[in-house]
Order: sequence, then C-alpha cells, then structure tokens
Amino acid sequence: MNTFKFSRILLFCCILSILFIVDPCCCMASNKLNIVTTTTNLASIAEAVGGDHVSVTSIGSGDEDPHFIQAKPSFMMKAKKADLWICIGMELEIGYEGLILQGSRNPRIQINAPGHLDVSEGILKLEVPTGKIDRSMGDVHPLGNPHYWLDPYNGRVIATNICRRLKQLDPAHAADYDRNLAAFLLKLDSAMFGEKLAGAIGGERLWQMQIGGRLDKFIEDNNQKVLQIDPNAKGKVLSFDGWLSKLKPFEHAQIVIYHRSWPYFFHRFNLEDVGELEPKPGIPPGPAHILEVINTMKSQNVKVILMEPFYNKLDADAVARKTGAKVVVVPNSVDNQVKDYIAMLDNVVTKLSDALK
Amino acid sequence: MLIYKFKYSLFIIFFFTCISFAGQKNTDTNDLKLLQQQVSQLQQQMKEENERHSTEIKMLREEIELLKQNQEAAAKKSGQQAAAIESNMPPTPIGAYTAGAQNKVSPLGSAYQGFNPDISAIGDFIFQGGQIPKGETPDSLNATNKSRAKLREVEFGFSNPVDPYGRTDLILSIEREDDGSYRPDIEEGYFTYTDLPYDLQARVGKFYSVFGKANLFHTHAMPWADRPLPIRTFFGDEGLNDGGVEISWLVPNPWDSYLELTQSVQNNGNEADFAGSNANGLMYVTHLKNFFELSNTYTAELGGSFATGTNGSGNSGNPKTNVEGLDFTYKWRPEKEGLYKSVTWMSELLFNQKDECGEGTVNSYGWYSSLEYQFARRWSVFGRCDYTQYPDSSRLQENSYSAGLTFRQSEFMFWRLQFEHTTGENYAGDVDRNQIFLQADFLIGQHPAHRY
Repeated sequence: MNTFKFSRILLFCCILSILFIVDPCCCMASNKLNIVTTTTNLASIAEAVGGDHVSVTSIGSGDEDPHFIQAKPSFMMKAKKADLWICIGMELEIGYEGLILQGSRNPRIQINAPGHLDVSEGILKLEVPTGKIDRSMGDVHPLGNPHYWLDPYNGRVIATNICRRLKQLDPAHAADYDRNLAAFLLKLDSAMFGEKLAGAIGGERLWQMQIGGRLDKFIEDNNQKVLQIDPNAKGKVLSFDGWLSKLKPFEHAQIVIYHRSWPYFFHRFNLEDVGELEPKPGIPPGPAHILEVINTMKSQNVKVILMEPFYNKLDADAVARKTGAKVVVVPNSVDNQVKDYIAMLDNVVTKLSDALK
Repeated sequence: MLIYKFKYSLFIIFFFTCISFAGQKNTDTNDLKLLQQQVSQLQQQMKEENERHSTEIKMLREEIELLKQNQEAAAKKSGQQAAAIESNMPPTPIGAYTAGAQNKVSPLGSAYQGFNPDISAIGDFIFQGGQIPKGETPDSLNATNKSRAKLREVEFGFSNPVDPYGRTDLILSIEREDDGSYRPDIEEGYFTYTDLPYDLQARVGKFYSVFGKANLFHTHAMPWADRPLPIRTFFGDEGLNDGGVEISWLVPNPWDSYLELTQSVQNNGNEADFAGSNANGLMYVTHLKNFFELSNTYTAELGGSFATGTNGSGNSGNPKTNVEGLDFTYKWRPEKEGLYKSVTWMSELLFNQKDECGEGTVNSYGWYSSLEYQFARRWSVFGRCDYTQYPDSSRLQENSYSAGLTFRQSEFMFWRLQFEHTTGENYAGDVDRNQIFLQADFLIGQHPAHRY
C-alpha cells in the first residue's frame, strides 16, 4: 500500500516537473506590463504612454482591414499572457474579439475586468445612428462610426484613457506615465498646430478653441494687438503651422472616399466627403454605383479619391480615368512605412494636401 | 542772529519737504505701473474666460441643436409610422445614419439590451438535382429521389454570458425530413466555464464532439454544400454530437504555440458507428490541436483525434468502436489583399475499428482533401476528393469528386453551386451517380463569430 502511494506521489512529481521543463516561460516573470492591442495605432500610443514600463504587441499588423482580422489561435496565445487588452470598441472588433478573449482563458482581460480597456470612452463620436438600423443599410455600426482614431483630438483622448488605466494597474510608475502622456500630447499638438503655437498657447486651450471654431479669430485678434503695440514685432505674431496649416488652404475641398473611414479626419480639417465608392458600408462597388460616382464627381469637379491600401485600387483607377481625379492611397494604421501614430496622420495630411494642390 | 536761524530753519524744512514730495512722486509712478499691469492681466484673464465660455456655449448650442434635430426626426418617424399603419404601407427609415451627429447612445437603452442574448436565425435553402440518394437504409441507398428544392434547415442561435463564471450557447434547428415534414431539434446547447484556473475550460450540455475539423461545422458554416463522404459514413448526417461534458487545456510548451488538449465524455448515441439510441454506454473523445503561425500570411494546423465507445452490433459482449483521426489545415491569406485572395487546404484521414458480433473487428478507413481558392472579394472556387470504406465492411467503398463555386453576396448571405460525382459500391450494389447542389444561406441577427 505504501509502495502504491509512493509511486503515485512520484508520478505526480514527474508530471509537475515535466510541465515546468516544457514551460520555461512560466518561471521567467517580467516586471513590465504586458499589453496586447487590436490595432497598431493603439500599440503605438500605448508604447508612447507606457514607455519602458510596458511591452506592447498588436494582433493586427496595420496592413489589413481592421474589420476583418481573423481570430487565429496564435492571437489567443498572445492574449493569454496579457495584463492589459486594449481595443478600439464601437464594435469594430466584433468579428474576432470575443473569440480571442474567450480562447485566451485569461480572466485579467475579459470584458469589464481592469485589464480590458475600450478606449472609445469620452471620444468625439460621429455618425451615431439615431433611428432604427438594419442591414439593408450595409454593415453599419450601431454605436457609431468606429474609425475615430483618424481625428487627432480623439488620439489625445485615447492616450489619456490608456494613461489612466496604466496608472490604475501600475500605480508605482504613475508619475512616469503622466510624464510620457504629457510628452506625447505635446508632440501631437505640435504636429497639429505647430510647435510655436502649441508651446505659446498650450494644447488644451488650442483644442478648445479649435473645437469651438474660435481659433482663427483668436490668432487674428492676438496678432492685431501685438502689431498695435509694436508694428515692428512681426516675429512675435502667432501663426498656424503643422497639419492645420497644410490643410487650411483646402478647407471645404470635396473628396470621394472608398469606405466611410474618413469622416473623422474630414470633420477635423473641414473637408467634405461627397461620396463613397462602396454603395453602402461593406458592399463592394458595382457598375451602376460607379457610374453615379463618376457623374457626381464630374458635376462637382471632385479631384481626389482617398482610399486605404487594403482595398482594390482598380475601381478607383477606373473612376479616376473618367474624371481626371487623383487616387490617394494611404494607410489608416501604423504599418511598415509609417512607424507611429503621429507619422501615420502626418502621412495622410502630406499626401492629401499634395494631391489637392 | 535770530533772523539768520529762522531762515536756516525755513531752508531745512523746504529742503526735506521737496525730498519727501519727490519720493512720494516716485512711489506713485511705480504703483501706477503695477496697477496698469494688474489691470491688463485681469483684462487678459477676462478675455480668456470669455473665450472659454463662448466655446463651451457654442458646443452646448450644437448639442442642443442636435438633440432638437433628433427629437424632430423621431417625431417625424413616429408620425410616418402612424401614417404608414393607416395606409398599410411600410414606413421609410429616416435619420438612421445621421452624418455629423455627436450624441451618445442612451446608456439606459444599452443596459437593457445588454441582458438580451445575441439572437440569430439562419436559413439554409438547397436545390438538389441528378441522382439523389433516397434513404439511409441499405436497400434504399441507391434509390433516387426526383430533383427537389427545399429549405433544408433553419437554425436559431442564442448566446450570452450567464454569470461571471461562463456563457451559454443554444443552437436550435428545424430540419426538413425526407417525407417533407419539419423536425425541431436541439443541435447544440451548452454552458462554457470560461474562468477556470490553469488554462482550463469546460463545457457541459449537448455539443459536437471535437473530432477533426469537418465534424464541427454547422450546416451554414461548411465550405461545401454537403459533408465529406467519410464523415457522413462514419458519423452519419448529424455528425458526432451528443450530451456530455468536456474539458480542454492549453498545454504549456517551450515554443509558446497553441497546443490544446480536449477530452469529452458523451452519450454514445451515434447511430452510424456507435451504439445508437438504445445504448446506455458512454463515448470518449480526445483531441489534440496544434496551431502554427508560420508568418502573418501562412498558418498550419495539425490535429489528432480519438473516439471510443461501445457499438450496437450485438446483444451480447461489449463490442467497441474505435475511431482515430488526423486533420491538417493550411491557410494562406495575404495581409494587404486579404479581402480578395485566400487559399484553404483542409484534409482529414479517419481509421475505424468496429467490433462486429461474431465477425471479429472490421478495419476501415476514409479520407477527404479539400482546396478552396478565393479569387475575388466575393467569389471562390473549391474542389474536394473523398474516399471511404464502410464501417461494417471494408470491402464496400465509395469515391466522390466535387467541384463548386461560392458567391458571397455580403457577409450575411451566400450562394453556392456544387457538382458531385460518386462511384463505388455500397450495401445496395454499384454506385455511379451525379448530383448538383444549388445552395443559398441567409443570416439575420447577431451570430457569434466562427472559429478560425
């Protein structure tokens, strides 16, 4: 009997030791917070805010359509070890998030757990349906258009949300997260308004005035006052720089897009979307709709078609040939060519302003 | 002398008075400058405050305007609905996708909806032409039905978390029988424990056994119009599916790859290869799944399965059936062009050992291999080769070759055309038949995403 008990204990010890041999990772705990994001934009912002205290992985590579990432079991393995899961929300990830979270068997990152962060809280939302919706309208999102990261103001909100959650999960480094957030916001605000303006006025005030539509008047009044006091103080007048100045000459320019990914970007820079190549969200273009788009573009003299690289360019090229418009293909996510969130927006601004010239 | 002293005193007084007045004037000038600075600072602060308030007021006005618009749209809509009811005309949806709206969805509404499960309904319509096998009994295997169109199945799905410990998925189906009647059935209904420790997960209820790949597909999720021949032959049209419990474990490994071990204990009610409805034994199914992400574009999955249980081949003894399976799936999906191009190659090999009463053990096997190529956003072609022996007689065997075209009208509906040629020999004699399938599947509601 004793021999039987002894052999059972020995067998149990063998199994345990095999488990530890085959899983050396379980013995090597890292003191960095392990973050997994659904998109590369979120990974870029999380890296900027988390700094040296986090290790960030994105399941999306930035090259694919973020609506159609597939729930590969390898993503479940990444999520399994995550301390924090960050998603865009607004049902962008409805096709794969649930499967990955459940498959990860990680209780820390399940919905409503502290390790699950939907960064859409507090963002400026567009196109929130106000009546009954159904799929005759295409692949509409009941909570609103989810491409909100393309508004740099929402980029600030995302970074602030991530910082708040990092401080909650890792209070020992709260001061570092605050410092990183401030540096990220300054960089973003400088890219948006220009370094001089962001430094002189401060990002918060600039955004308040920009959202309220009073920024132009503020700059004008300020400069008048400066010149009244000292007509030779031209070096002291405030001026726009950055993305705002690049796109300011093209305010109210009319643009055709492939998919309704761009309304946030257009809203921020006062551009106008006059139509989409998709007849309805998620429905590929058909000949009748393409003809309609061509007629609209001709009648309204639209000169630019804006689209992402993961859509087929053939339809856009066909429309461009008939209308003389330029096709601007830009990624809406961080990828191999645009290395971070600010560079991604900068690339869109630069390519679009070049095309609109 | 006195006059001199008086003049001297007057001079001193005058001198100090002048100095004191001069000092006073200096102090006044500094105060004035300070005051001017303070006033100008105050003016600047007031101006900033005014600007801030103006911005806030403007934002609030915009919000009020939007709320008014929404209210008007809602009122207009209810008016239209009332008018539509009166005139028996369908109402036109309005304001459903308002550009520029910055309002939030009512949190109360979302909270109420959150308690409702995700509900979906899927219709599976099929037209079958050519020589359609009439029945499953040995005598009727080669008899044929006339071409027919039928709603093969309607599937209703309900899923939601039940409590902090797990979630439930219920799949109810109504299937069309050969006599034209419809039979309701619980296809699956199980509770999944999602918060178990040590990377474990458990299911309890009725579910498809995790055996290979094709056995797990619901009808609407199959990449073909029918199940492969060996799956139908060894497990029947309903597949390996019964009530029981299952536990699965993500096995830790040095490569950090996905390695899942699943063990289930279910009733062995499978008619085709196990004991059927009269049995009181259990069926044990083990599955090991390996998934390799070769790159962002290529993935491979290798699985091994084993099922064992008593079968219904005799009244005496304890005749058993063992089934071993190997499955291999290879996928290619380029990242940038993933919406338009992909390849899936899926193959399974099954070995079957069935104790036959008085005849010893019958060894049989079967396999299928399927290749699907998506060549446009909505279009894909596929081909499949099947081979199977019969579990009760390895002498009997069938081969089939299928080819087809799938058109995905949207994410929620597809059309499929499939041609199938089958040859071989079964219980009723030689088989040589051609079939054509035209399938249309349509989904409404919120259906859970399918496994990769």
